[in-house]
Amino acid sequence: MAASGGTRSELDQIAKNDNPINCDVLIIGAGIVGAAAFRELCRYKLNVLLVDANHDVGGDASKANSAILHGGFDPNPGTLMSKLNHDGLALWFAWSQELSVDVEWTGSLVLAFNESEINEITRLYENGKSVKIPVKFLGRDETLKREPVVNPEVKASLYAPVSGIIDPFQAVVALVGNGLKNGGRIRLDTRVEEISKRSDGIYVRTSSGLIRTKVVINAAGLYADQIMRMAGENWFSIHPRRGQYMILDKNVGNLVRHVIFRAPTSIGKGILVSRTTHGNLLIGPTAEDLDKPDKRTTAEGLATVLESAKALVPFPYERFTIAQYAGLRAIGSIDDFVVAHSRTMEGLINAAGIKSPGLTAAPGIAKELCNLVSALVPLEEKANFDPYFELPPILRELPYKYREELIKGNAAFGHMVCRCELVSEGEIENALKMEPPARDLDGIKRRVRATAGRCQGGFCMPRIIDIMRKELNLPYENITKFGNKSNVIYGDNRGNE
Amino acid sequence: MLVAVVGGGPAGMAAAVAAKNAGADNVLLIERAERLGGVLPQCIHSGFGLNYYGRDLTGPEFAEYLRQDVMQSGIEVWLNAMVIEAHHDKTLVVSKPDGISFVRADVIIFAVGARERPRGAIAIPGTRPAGIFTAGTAQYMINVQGLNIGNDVFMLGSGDIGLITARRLTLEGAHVHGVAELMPFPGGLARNIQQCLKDYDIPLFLSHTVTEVLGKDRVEAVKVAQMENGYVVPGTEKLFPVDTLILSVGLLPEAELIKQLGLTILPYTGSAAVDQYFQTELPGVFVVGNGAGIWDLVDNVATSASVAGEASVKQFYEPSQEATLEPCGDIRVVLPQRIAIGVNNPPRIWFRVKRPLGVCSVALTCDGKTIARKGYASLRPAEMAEISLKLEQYNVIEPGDNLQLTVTPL
Ligand SMILES: Cc1cc2nc3c(=O)[nH]c(=O)nc-3n(C[C@H](O)[C@H](O)[C@H](O)COP(=O)(O)OP(=O)(O)OC[C@H]3O[C@@H](n4cnc5c(N)ncnc54)[C@H](O)[C@@H]3O)c2cc1C
Ligand SMILES: Cc1cc2nc3c(=O)[nH]c(=O)nc-3n(C[C@H](O)[C@H](O)[C@H](O)COP(=O)(O)OP(=O)(O)OC[C@H]3O[C@@H](n4cnc5c(N)ncnc54)[C@H](O)[C@@H]3O)c2cc1C
Repeated sequence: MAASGGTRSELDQIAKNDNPINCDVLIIGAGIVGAAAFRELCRYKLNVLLVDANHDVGGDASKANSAILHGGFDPNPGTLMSKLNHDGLALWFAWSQELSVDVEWTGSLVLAFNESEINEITRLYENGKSVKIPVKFLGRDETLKREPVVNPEVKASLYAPVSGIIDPFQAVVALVGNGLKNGGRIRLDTRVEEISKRSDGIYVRTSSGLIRTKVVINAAGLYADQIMRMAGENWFSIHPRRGQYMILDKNVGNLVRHVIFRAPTSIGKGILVSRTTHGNLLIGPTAEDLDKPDKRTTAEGLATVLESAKALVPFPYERFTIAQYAGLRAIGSIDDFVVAHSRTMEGLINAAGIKSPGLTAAPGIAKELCNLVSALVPLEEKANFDPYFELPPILRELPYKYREELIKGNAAFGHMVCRCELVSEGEIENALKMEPPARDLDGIKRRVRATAGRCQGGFCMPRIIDIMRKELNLPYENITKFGNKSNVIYGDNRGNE
Repeated sequence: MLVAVVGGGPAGMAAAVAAKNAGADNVLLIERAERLGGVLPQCIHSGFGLNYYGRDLTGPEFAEYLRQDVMQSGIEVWLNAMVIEAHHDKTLVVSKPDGISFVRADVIIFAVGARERPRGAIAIPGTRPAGIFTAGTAQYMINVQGLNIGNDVFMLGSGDIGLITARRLTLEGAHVHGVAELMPFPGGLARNIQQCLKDYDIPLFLSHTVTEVLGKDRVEAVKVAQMENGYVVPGTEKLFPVDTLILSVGLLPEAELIKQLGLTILPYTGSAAVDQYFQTELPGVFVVGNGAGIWDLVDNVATSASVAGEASVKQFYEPSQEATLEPCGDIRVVLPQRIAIGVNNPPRIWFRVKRPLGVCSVALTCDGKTIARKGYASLRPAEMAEISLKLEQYNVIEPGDNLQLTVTPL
């Protein structure tokens, strides 16, 4: 891993012996940034390859965040972050329709409880005005009128109507799915270990073989600085900032209408209370600077989440919690996104330090990446590019008539497997068959919600592994929660298999 | 008249049979699984049926006996059929492999059982690896699917399901490193502590909990510490190198369908308030078995569900003609919570205590006046106990009375 752009020994060896996989553009990282770039680059007559070290698409930060489409008043005007937040937000309007991604424009409220917080939201208000975002100042009464459950101690709030919530994992799946449909390729369980520039292209050594490409896009999230170092680029570094969350039962999902923030501090946007697109309630995140990646939740962190959420919206959250998780923000050594050509290796483009609002900005980042690619290889649009993508049907959302039709076509749609989220066997089959397919339990959970409900898979998980075994023709021992060594079962005791 | 029974576990089967025997024209039993029996098919240990069938049976045997009763009674059974919605006019929406059906019933008996509380409900900090199972899920995977789910196991919670699963895992060759229980007393029956833990040298750590899960892909260890007033006692943290964590931290009634009917949910049962016939505030809607409150003995489940099944074909009692009953002090749960007045047979009252008690006396009171009293040599949280009212005691109760159940150590 220590190899920098200059070290060629091993790569040269492999290049001689191995037949490399060839592509025009290699994207490292199938999080929201890599996925958005993949989708956009597949518009063009290019051979695009997306790789990720993980067993599934979805990234790391991209599947453990607040899932908010930020209004754009937070980043300082003039920064790349501010511009791309703006661009991204506007593009999500169009993309959510083209790709049938769940987005709800709920609007957001940033609450202020004291003088210094009022100053803070005043600053945000001015930010917003200067980049032409429709923000509004609300007094105490108006705040309570719009959101009666917030702490009545509230003094004022900043209202941003054009902000909302999104299903970030579904967004990645749809973006990747659309790219695949338009001719892109993907390789998972593929960790990039070394990058080297030669006269006939950039050679990238991965844990699953050698790749030769003209352009590399570094969308490696928290590890984007490692990829930069592989190319000899040492000016930038990233450290993780952990955010812990609690997810609550759908029964209380409608507690708030808007996304409710606290006035921000220097290290983050503070704890928020929000509904998710699935109807659960979400509270968090903490902001803890760490030396190395560590996605553990902690007793202190979860206590902070509860306490801070209660200060915003008083509610007995602990009685309704169904899951807790943590995500790691990629905090760069400069306080802005880096979306630019590498300073050391021609052909490498970095999307690094993509912290919040990276999810919101992702479509904007992708467009910017396309611009940068066009300086290296010609971009010629495919005549038959299809911008649309549809996810397999979700039964519980459909009118009876359509459910009935699906069941008539395949009885598995009538067979309920996950009782909490009402997911049928047919939907699980679809999750395993779709592109990109689910290959593990978490992949099924994130695509169709089975095991994501209030019993967290107690009832359906054993049944899902039976379906996986049948559909994928896998022995039980090979079924994992999320790839790698996350095996769920150690063996089959019946001796008949 | 159509009686629709939702759930084909012991409660649903017993209720369906009783309804049919009491003269219901049509009884429809709707079960979402591929077989009748509820959780019984996975309970391959014995100890079932001593009261209901007068013999010691395993779970699958008990289920089979009930299933025979169902089959012989001319009850229509739908398998692989899940009720996905319940409406106020007693219409049920059912998802089946041949389509969506709408069942318009005269009576609905909900016998939907309970779900286990998962890790997320108790917010154990740490990583989120594979290898964490609830006890009932583990029991299903071991006994029904025949799978090896772990080699080195730690268990949190000492309820009976957990204890039985700990023994089962041991018999399957796993090493159960220990069982932690947050309370200062075990959650399960004394019999199971002896036969499932002590007999197999599995240590029980009372007043302890799991404070952290470690491991990236699969569980690699758990941290366990002694607790006092909700806080870790410093210096008591121990690391257990296990690949599996089993949780036996409580059952919650499945109340989603009854919530759809707008019935209020009692915080201490997690289900709707029922009268002595297990009828809810909505005439013609009954809730039985673990869906009404958590029972430990399947015999009691079957007995009480039969009461509901029989009553369901008779007249419904007017809500105005009833008294209410609530648990007080060391009584945690009481069933029923409403008492219909003016019926001939006096009700049986079931209850559970919050902590183990020695010799004590349980009293049913109204405005400080004692209506009934019963002495017990001991009471345990793990066991549902009962008081059967005598007719003269029942007759004292007036509509609108607010009754209380209290316990006094002697
Ligand atoms: C706690 C938290 C809350 C947030 N809330 C919001 C929010 O509400 N709204 C918002 O807009 N943004 C939010 N963000 C920011 C947003 O989630 C991120 O900016 C965004 O997800 C980053 O996407 P990404 O694709 O760059 O990174 P990731 O999703 O982390 O994906 C990077 C991928 O690169 C892969 N990778 C890394 N190294 C290699 C390698 N060597 N070889 C192969 N693959 C590799 C990884 O496996 C991973 O899949 C939040 C972030 C966090 C952590
Ligand atoms: C793991 C475990 C071990 C136990 N061990 C013992 C023991 O050793 N001794 C003892 O006496 N008791 C034991 N019990 C207790 C006893 O088994 C239960 O009290 C009893 O099974 C409860 O019966 P039930 O019918 O209420 O619920 P369940 O047995 O849970 O049955 C409920 C049924 O309803 C169905 N259902 C739920 N929702 C729907 C829907 N919407 N549509 C259609 N069908 C639905 C379910 O599929 C299930 O079949 C144990 C319980 C458990 C959970």
